[in-house]
Amino acid sequence: MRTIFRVRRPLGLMGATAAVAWLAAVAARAHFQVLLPSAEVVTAGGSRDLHLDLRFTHPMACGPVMEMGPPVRFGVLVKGRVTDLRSQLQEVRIDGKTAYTCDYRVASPGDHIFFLEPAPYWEPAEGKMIVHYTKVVVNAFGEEEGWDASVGFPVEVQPLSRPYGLWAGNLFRGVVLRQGKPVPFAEVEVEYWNEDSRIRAPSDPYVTQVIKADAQGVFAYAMPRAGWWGFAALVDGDEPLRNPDGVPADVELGALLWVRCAAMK
Amino acid sequence: MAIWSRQPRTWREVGFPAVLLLFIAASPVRAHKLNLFASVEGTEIVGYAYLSGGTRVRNTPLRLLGPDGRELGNLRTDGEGAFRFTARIRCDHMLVLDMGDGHRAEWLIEAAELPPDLPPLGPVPETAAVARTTEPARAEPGPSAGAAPGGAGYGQEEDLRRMLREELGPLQHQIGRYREEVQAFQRQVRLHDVLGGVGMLLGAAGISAYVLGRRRAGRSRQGDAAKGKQREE
Repeated sequence: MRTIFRVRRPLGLMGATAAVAWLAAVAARAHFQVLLPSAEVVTAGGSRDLHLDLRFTHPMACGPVMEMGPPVRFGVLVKGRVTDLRSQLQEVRIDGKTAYTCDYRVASPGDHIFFLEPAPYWEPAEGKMIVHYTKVVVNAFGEEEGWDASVGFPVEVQPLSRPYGLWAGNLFRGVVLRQGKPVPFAEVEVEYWNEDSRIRAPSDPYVTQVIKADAQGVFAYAMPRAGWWGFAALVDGDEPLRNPDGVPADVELGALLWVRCAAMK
Repeated sequence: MAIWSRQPRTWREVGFPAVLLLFIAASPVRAHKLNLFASVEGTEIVGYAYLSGGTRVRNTPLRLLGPDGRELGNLRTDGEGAFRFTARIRCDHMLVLDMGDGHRAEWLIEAAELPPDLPPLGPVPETAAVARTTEPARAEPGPSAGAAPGGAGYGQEEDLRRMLREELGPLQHQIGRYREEVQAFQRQVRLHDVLGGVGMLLGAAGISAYVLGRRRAGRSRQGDAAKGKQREE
């Protein structure tokens, strides 16, 4: 019995150390609007029911979750036709914070671009308002049409690689657009959707990958692991937004795109 | 050296344009996976055929098969790659688009998707008798449909065919079920094999441990005996 107790205590100590290390890592996280469907490819034999997860969090650090206001826009673009899905949103609480889910049944073939303009988020630590315009593409029944279409966001990532059917290790390319024009040398943050905290970053810089677009606004990133990857191109907003206290604040505009890659095995 | 220096020139002059031409010729149909989509509107099965890039597959034969393999319908996609078929029976409809060159697509409309007021699939495959005609689904199912065209000989042949189908229909259904069972069994067998293999390895390890143990014990006994002898001497 005694030996068991003796073993347990170091474990507790290790746990505490790990917790401290984790907290330190969290400090280096980046904000990401998450928009994840249950599948990025809908096949003829498989389920047509998609479940979408909408939350504002730090994907690689696995939290914490931040409060989301009612989305300004949420819908799906299929073959040039937009369907407003705001009424189908379900409010959920994750760690006491508001997040949303949406159940969507795929009715026709073609690329489905789900898009979300969340309510502006006030980040007191950075003294700015954050608006992350987010997209994710789901292909249905093999008709690969429309994945690079614009949903008309003021800032948007246009994929230059088809954003589904990707292998882990693939180089993903995209162009950062602002009012439809490329943004030279735009900063793009990349994070992995670290489900169940499976991956531990050895130190802070590993949490968020930072890349810059070239002179034509084109960025590229080779995804080293199977799973969901979020690309967030960040630009400063032209006009200040009022924070919850009514004081004008700087705005961070994000153009986000989520893609999933699968292990080649 | 002279030959080496000539080769790249040949490549540039012939090879590269040839490859370019091939590429240009191939690009419109590149990765052209054939697809089929269908949904139910009232009693109609509506859909279209397309290639991955979105190009519609026009004027191509499409067959609708019942769960026992009998043909429920047979039509062609129109100029837009679309089709429309009125279902008469509430059963699984397997839609098969076959371009005949290895390109094939399937789509299953399940019985549950069709309106419940349609009659279920009967044990007597009467509709199958009409499936050979060009407009099978439109023709009214019944014994008269098979007997109507042609003379007495044709009618007899049709009767025979129908009889055979009636006899073979349930059999086909059974075969389908057996096939599923066999597949399930094969999956089970795979698990059994793995477990059996593990057991065999453990067994082999046990036997070898036993044999080794005995040998060691035997050797030490012999050794003791030898020592005893030495001592006696």
